Amino acid sequence: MREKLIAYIDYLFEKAPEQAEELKNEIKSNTLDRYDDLLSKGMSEDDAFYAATASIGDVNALLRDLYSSKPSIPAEKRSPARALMLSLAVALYILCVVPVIALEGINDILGVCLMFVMIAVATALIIYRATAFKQRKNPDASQSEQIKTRELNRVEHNPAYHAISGALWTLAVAAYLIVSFGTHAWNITWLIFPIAVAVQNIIRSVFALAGGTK
Amino acid sequence: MSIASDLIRGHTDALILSVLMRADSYGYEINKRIFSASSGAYELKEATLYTAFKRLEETGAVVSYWGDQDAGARRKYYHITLAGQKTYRRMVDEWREARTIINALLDEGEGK
Repeated sequence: MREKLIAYIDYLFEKAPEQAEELKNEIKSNTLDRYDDLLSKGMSEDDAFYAATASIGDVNALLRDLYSSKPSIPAEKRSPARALMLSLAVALYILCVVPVIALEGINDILGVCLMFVMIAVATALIIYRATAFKQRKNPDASQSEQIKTRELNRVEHNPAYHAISGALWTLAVAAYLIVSFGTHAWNITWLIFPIAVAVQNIIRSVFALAGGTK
Repeated sequence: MSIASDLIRGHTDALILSVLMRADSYGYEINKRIFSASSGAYELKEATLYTAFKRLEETGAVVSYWGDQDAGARRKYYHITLAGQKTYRRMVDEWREARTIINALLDEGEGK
């Protein structure tokens, strides 16, 4: 029964944050003290087990009371690394035309290549930022909150999808202008846009599939 | 009893400090002392107890340390600080003052 009581308390703290480890040990030792005390007063093992577990009360409410004042998620969201990544990405987007302008007439291909590299790096930064700092799901989120989370996880609300989609259209416009001015083949270069639509749909289905397997 | 419990719950910190004024103690023992000192009329809920411990530790009224038992799980002991003793005396004074006022006010109704 004693082992069962220990296992029960471990179970209560299964989803507790790491800083609650000490509280768990404290509650464990006090509950075991109560259990031993009740046994020494002649209570049966079963009765002592139930009395001891009943005395613990609502651990989830206790954890909420103790730790809700220090939510770790907003701190993560506001972390300097996160802000730096976004700033870098935006700077890269803005500056990506610089190589094209600077290298015009000298090495057009290199300029365009550099621009695409910069856009790719910026997009990668935004995707990394969105996925690496993803909000931890609240372990005891109510059902309505879970539905809300699922709603947020839909492809259209996925920040990574947004980032890629945005970059895709920027790239499509850039490619259209560069290819058109370069080749003067205006009659067919518009095909870039239907291709972009197709690519976006492919990305959307990739995200939907990835979201579905989670 | 439940209304009395609500009234008493507002004084949880004072009750815990009163036990610690005598000697360092740990969760279950503190609750047992409160239970026996009230002749079994009052017992703290565990959640109330741990919330109070955290509050008292944050305000510097108590400090905690892990005891080293040879047998069984280690216990977390609480020790009242000088600031905590001051807080306790202030709480006792406040309670006595409030008690006098409330007694006087309620005795009016009984026509004493």
